Amino acid sequence: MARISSEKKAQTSVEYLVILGVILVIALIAIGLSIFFGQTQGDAVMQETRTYWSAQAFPIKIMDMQGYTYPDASAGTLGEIGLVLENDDSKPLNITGLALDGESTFNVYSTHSVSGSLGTAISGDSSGINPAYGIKLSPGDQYTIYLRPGTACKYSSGNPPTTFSRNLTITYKSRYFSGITFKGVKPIMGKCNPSS
Amino acid sequence: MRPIGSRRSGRLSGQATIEYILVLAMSIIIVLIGIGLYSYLVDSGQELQNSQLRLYWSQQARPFIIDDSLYETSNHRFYLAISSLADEELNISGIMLNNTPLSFYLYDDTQPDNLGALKCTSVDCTSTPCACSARIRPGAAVSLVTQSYLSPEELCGSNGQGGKLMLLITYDRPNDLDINYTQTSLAPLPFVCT
Repeated sequence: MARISSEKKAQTSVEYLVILGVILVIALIAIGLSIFFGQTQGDAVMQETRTYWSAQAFPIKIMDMQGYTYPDASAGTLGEIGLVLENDDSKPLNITGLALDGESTFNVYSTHSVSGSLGTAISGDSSGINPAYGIKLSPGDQYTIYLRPGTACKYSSGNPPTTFSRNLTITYKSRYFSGITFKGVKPIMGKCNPSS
Repeated sequence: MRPIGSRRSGRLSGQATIEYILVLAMSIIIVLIGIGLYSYLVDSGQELQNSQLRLYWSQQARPFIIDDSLYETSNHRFYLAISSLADEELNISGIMLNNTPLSFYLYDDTQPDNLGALKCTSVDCTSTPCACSARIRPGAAVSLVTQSYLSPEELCGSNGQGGKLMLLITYDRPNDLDINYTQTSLAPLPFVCT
């Protein structure tokens, strides 16, 4: 009888430890899942579009995108969208136009505007970039541009913008063909952060 | 009072149930992790494969390399930039995509649909046998536009981004016209839908 009692105690201890271990593992998994699903659906979609533009888009990738809004500037100040373009092709490309759905005209800049004031554009026209100049990218080159569209990330006191989402079409030419349009499968998307 | 054997049996049964649930939960977790990894690796692998194909066609194919390959969704035509790495002049006498012979034009961005001079005896080599001729000097390139071929829905994939198909170029040496050569696809040609 004494031997059986001792065995029982050992078994109880092992079971207790196993259950404790399992509870710990389940708790850790639950914490991980809650963190994972804690992100809003919007965040997940945003991450998905960023992954598309930085890894799958071809021949021009967008390695980073960031929106800026200017809450301290006068109402009606245009927002800004920063894009890091990269030529993923094996040949030089010349970007001659950018178009955003829902935005008629906008200028393109090579520097970020901290205050919200408009500086000197790269040479904007109705398609975003003057085709006579363009943005020339050698293979693997990156170039950061800042768009100032009419509505995306535009500050208004009653309705401060929090995110932007626009379909982007890039027009470019290679040494062989011109007027090639590349429309991303997914829109460019991001948060409109206060500029600083 | 129940016999000891009966109590021990009940505990063992409970223990087996817990163990069963644990194994089931762990199996489900492992399967979920496996599915996540698989979908991630498939996406990465697809992109890697496309970049390898582009590398092959732009650097390793012989005697012609393809510097650019586009499918224009508005007119259903392929745009091919073909360079010759041969040390003599060659004459492209035919282009086939997925075993379909296509007529082709010189690319001219001043003309409607970018159609320059027709380089074949017929505008439609798919339904009519025709002869084509586009000469390329050593190290030179020629930009061609093919006749219409299939629709974007058939070629550009579910996301409309692009695809890949087999390209076959027949050519001859102008100084030795009796012999026809064929550059077959060792790998599919990836293209971008624009």
